[in-house]
Amino acid sequence: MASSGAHSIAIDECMDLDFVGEIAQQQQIGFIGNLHVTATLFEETEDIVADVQRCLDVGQRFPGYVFGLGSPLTQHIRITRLEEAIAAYRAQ
Amino acid sequence: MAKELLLRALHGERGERIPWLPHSGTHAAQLLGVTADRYLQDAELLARGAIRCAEHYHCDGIPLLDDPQMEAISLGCSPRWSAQGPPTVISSPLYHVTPERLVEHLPPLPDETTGRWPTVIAAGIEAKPALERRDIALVGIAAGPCTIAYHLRGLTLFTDLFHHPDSAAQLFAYAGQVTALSARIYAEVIGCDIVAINDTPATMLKPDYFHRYVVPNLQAAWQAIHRAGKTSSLWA
Repeated sequence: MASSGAHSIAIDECMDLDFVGEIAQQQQIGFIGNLHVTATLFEETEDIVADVQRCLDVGQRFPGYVFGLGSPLTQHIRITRLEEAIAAYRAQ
Repeated sequence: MAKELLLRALHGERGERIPWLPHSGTHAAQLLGVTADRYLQDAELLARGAIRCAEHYHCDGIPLLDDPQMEAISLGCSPRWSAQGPPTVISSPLYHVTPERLVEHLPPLPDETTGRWPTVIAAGIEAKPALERRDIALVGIAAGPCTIAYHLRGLTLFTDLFHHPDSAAQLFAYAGQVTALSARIYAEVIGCDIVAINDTPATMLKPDYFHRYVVPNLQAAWQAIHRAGKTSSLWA
């Protein structure tokens, strides 16, 4: 993917963001990822703020990082959960 | 500044903060209080949805339409629409065609007037200046070659890779042309700042097949995007 000719790539939550960051840095491209979207569906899932922090902690170690989601948002999410995630992101 | 920051990051640069770009799916329908099927087929709702979503979540960029089936439906695949999410392709027009006769059954290549393109273009023309004023990048998402080939051929695509690699190569080449046309419309006609190629089914291919069937058939799309001075991205 990284050498396909695109300026950047986006990856899902199955990929190790740290590993992708190293490849993106080598290829001098941007990379987007990979917040677990399932954390926006239910109240009882893992702490979404912790997953935001995981993304930001790893992403900021590399140039070209863009905070993004590991998969598309489904239509019906807990809006408050995503708002919570974005508040944590904006507090960076 | 927000848009510029995002574009620079997507080109591999480090900025003063980490930008944010969501893969928004049909979530805007929830924000607008409408069903997904209505939202995906209405230019005004698509435009309003992109703006609403970008403002609500303070995004630096926002997709205009996130429906991986859009191109396939315009090529003759039958959709089953849903109130809850993007449509599902329920029939693949090339599924029963023999590999030897695949090429002669390929649908005519689409253009700006085919399928839902007029709706998407109208939405983009409405959303672009509104997002521009808010310093938010507009993102076009085109279906990738493997996504299009898979929808047209169904699961037979994967047996073709083993038993009829020449037919599979011809189908991927055709699908790559469709991807490039979508990329050109997003980049040139609508003027999206970023054009992403979404090709999730390609992740099911082993690396050798990805290099043989997908990568060569992405190049025309990258050329169309880069020639228009826009930023490209591969989503999978």
